[in-house]
Amino acid sequence: MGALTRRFGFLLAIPALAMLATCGDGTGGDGAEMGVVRIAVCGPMTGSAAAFGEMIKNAAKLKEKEVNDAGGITVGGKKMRVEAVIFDDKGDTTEATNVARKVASDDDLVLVIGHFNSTCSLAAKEEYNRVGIVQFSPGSTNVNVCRGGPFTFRNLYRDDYQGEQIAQYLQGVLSVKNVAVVYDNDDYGKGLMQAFKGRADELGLDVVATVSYLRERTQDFKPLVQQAKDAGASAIFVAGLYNEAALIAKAARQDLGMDVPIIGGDGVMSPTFIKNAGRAAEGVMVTTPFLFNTGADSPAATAFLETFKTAYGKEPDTWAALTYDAMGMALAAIEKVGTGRQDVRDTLAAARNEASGYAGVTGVTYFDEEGDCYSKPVYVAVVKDGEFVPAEKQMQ
Amino acid sequence: MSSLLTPENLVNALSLGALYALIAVGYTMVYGIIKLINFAHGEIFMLGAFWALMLVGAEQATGINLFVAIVPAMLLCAAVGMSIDWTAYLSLRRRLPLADWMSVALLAILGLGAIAYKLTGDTTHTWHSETAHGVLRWAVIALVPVTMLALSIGEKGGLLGRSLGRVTSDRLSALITAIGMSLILQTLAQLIWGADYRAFPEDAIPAFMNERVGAFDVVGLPVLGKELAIWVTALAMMVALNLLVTRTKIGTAMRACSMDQETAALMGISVDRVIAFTFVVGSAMAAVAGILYAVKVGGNISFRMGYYPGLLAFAAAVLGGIGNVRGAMLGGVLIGFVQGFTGGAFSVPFAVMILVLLVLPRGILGEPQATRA
Repeated sequence: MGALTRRFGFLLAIPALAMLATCGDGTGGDGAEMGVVRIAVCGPMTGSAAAFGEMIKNAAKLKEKEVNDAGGITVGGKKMRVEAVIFDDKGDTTEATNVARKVASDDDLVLVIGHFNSTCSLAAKEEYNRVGIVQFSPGSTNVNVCRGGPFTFRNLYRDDYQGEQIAQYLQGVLSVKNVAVVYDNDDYGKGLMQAFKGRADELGLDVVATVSYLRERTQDFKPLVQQAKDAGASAIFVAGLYNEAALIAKAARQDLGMDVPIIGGDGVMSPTFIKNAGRAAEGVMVTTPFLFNTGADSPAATAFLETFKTAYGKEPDTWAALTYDAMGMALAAIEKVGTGRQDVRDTLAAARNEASGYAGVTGVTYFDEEGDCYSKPVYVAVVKDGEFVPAEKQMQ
Repeated sequence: MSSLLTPENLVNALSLGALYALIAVGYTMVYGIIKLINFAHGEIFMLGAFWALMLVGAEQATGINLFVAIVPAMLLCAAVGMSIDWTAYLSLRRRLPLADWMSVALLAILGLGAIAYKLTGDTTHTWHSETAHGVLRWAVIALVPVTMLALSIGEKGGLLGRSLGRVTSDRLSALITAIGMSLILQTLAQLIWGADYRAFPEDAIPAFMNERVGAFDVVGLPVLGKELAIWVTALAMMVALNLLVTRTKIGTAMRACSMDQETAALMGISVDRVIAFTFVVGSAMAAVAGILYAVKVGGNISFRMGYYPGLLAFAAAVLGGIGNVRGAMLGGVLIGFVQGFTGGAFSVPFAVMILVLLVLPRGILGEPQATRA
């Protein structure tokens, strides 16, 4: 049955679409008096990142349901229903551009929550900014996502911010004196490495070796980790993705017998990392924009965790929490100034400090002049018994 | 980077060299006989690792020891190697009724597999769908009996039916066919196993593989069990291959074919069978290399894994003198040393190859310019 619904589930969508078409303009249908605020939610609903897309969709739909069950939102003195319209960019840049064109030209859509993959956000950015519709990403961490795009925002850190925070964590929380950096020679890895080095220099954390690799080309990591070992590093920072991190962890732990702390950015936080690295994964730390079950969850986080679990039967992840907050912040802005695209943008851009920010599940969100968000701390997860769990010592 | 001539680098260089040599002989043997660069050889290397992964268990360990899994993986790769020859290359050499049918049949299996995959594939989780996996996996495994059947039929009416004459296709056609075959196999592997990286489950790898070998500590070499295993296996296979080529009947036939195919045929040698056998031997060795490579680097099993090692091994074959089996072994070890002592550099081995070719245009052990054009 499950497989059947998956395969033919789109059939169920046909009547739903038909209904949308008939009452979409707000003139027909039963609930005719109630207008609809439409928000586009764009992400990888299919394709290799579909698991992320599902979390994003579920979180957006949960927010939609909660608001509507409570009677909708008040816009200009009138109650309005909320609808999250899901768009699939397949995690593909070409699809993302197509989605952007479709969304931007649809005047019914007030703003965009998305995209998820940084590459997609970057590809879609131009269209959103040209037409003038807010693009609010709950998942893209690439440094350039918000740069030069007045309509582009995000409610999570930029990649390089993680680098700084990891330096701080190693030096401040773990009291590490010297560290080796193994980085992926692409934008992500280099950005992390440079931010890390900059902050490490300020803190007096000694970077004893900086080793780069090329994804796919570099397959044998033993000589690279050997350099870290020869330099006498007492911690290794991996600025790269999960597969290489797994090979690095194995080379360090198994081949070279190093038991120093290994820490990575959120690119390492994948179940594949644990599967591939096996026992070498144990104790490896990663940073992430948000974590549940840290032992110090806010009431908002606990409540979201519970409602999400009840609604979907599984725990929400970081991206679900961030999407939920992005929806919340967008709706709050709409309640304040209505559905004008420019007005919504100005309201979001005005959130520049804790007081004018939006307090949600993941903390308080507010922006800098670019639309980047530095208001929330980085969380640290650690692999324990084959699973990522919140680290005992979080950032202070 | 303080010093490159460290014992650690020496150990690594030897391991890489042994692995590249194992792959390089496959390139060189095929080239020696049919003057074709079999670009799909890197994919055989990749398939070897995947077959072994399937046998020891990708999700949960099946309890099969990795060393035991090597043998079936070699056989499967040998069958795939032979199938590649008969699917893609044979029709470019000779007009054989059965060969043409096999090409059509095998390509049809692949095509139907792809269609079945599309139909049954779950669009939301493309690489999870079990049905699609099953269909494709069996389509690929079906290559084996089809090949064996063809072989047995071939025994009766001359191999693969009576030859209807030679096809004088350009060497470039064979080259692009080889590149195409490489891409087809990569895509197929991606469809079956997904794009994600895998590693052998730890329980499938014998414990001694990740332990230091005490005997080498005495001489100051930090050797792990898996590295010793690579050296011993590679050495044993090289010696065996050398004996095979120089001391056996089929080896003599291989050498005869590489000298002059037509005369060899006149002497009663079944040239196509010798070529098929060459693919079998080369592919089996590549399979071993693929498995040991994945063990050495700690995983990295993916549909792309054969590309770069394949390229380096190809460079090794050229460096040693393409067509010369001992040259390929030497070239492999040299390329491994260059890479090992430069901390895993990728471009330096190629630079060294170019420099050597400036002095020795035919490679180190390459024969002087062939008498044939």
